[in-house]
Amino acid sequence: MSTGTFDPEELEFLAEETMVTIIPSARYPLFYMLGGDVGPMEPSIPVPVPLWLAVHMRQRKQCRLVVPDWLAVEPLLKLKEDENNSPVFTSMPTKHYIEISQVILESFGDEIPHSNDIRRLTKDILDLRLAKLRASVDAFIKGSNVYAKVDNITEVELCSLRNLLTRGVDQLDMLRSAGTYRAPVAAATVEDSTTLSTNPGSAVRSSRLFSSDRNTSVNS
Amino acid sequence: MKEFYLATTHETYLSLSDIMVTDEKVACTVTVDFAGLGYIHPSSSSEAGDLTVGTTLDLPLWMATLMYRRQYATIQIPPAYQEEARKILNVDPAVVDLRKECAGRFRWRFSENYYALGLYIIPFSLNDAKEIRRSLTSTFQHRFRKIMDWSNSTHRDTLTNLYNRLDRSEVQLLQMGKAEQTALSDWLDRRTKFLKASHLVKSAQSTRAQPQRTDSRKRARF
Repeated sequence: MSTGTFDPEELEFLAEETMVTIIPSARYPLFYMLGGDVGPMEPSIPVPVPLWLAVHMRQRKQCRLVVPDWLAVEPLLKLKEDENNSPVFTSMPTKHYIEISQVILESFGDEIPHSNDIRRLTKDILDLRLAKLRASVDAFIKGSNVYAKVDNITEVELCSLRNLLTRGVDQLDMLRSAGTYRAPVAAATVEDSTTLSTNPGSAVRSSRLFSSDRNTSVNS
Repeated sequence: MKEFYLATTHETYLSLSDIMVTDEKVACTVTVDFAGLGYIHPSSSSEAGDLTVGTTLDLPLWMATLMYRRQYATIQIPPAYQEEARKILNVDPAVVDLRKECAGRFRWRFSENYYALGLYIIPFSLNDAKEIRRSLTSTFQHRFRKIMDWSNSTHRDTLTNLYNRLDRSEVQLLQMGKAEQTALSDWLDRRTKFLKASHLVKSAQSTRAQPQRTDSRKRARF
């Protein structure tokens, strides 16, 4: 589906730029990359590299990963509990938490202890947050607020209902302002009504600026 | 047909969905005599074949609008937007089947273009425009939650049954939400698709005499 916005796959691609620490088992000179220099690598000396390079080297069995601190059972349990107790979104260790855990568990799953628990916990946290997102979207749609502020939300979570939400809000806006930009034209002359109907676009735009419904909803 | 949702279809000249909406019939009462046009109203008793003042007949909305603007006819608000229907929607908007016929004093039904038609109807309803607008808005607000839940949890096969109860724009929203949810859950299960290079990169490569690899990652030697 081409939506003009990010797919989860594209977000994963972006998240692979995150730096992780690996312990190489081979020797390499300095790499000159667009995103900055990486290396040089000496066997068993930890070195920070982009995640995609870590995956690449891992596939050639040339490194081991130093798993990020937050990607372990204890910290994730704590995150899950915080998320459960908080009415709003809690701050995640990184805004790419779900992508990074997916990539790491896929490529390095066999060298991480309790990888199944970690996979389950990240999925639980995501599910909690998605449920929270749906509940707040519902409250937003049903309420009369003109904007909503959501902190700490991540891109993948937005992926789950971005188009649905934006188009739903579009439709709601049209229904709310219905009739305010197409005044009854029975009393108007034929010429007036034709100018009204030939240029509906500008009428719609001005109604979005001056809609009386909009103003009342701001006040209430 | 892909872009069906309300915001892009309303009042767009070449939009098929808008044509379908304005093709819905509304009841009109003629306010002037039309000589020789009696045949478009079969039960007209006029021998001269004229369409006389006060005749009520169903016309497509696009034609009714033009007649109304020239003061040739008045438009009756369809039953789906009148108080009786608004009461039904007020009870629980989420369970109303917008495509089923309702029994009442006479048979009527909501419309599969309920919202889009409502937008057209509101300007003609001088007295209760506000009420209709409120009803449309709150109906959509309450049904949106359902659409969101269905797009999250419903299996693809059961969706077809749901489509038969929803407004067209709601069907469109539901399909869109379902596609997004499927993309996310596929990705979570690692059923990922292959990312393709951007169109710009490809065209830049094809215009070069000797294609080079532009991806710096590929140049790293191992």
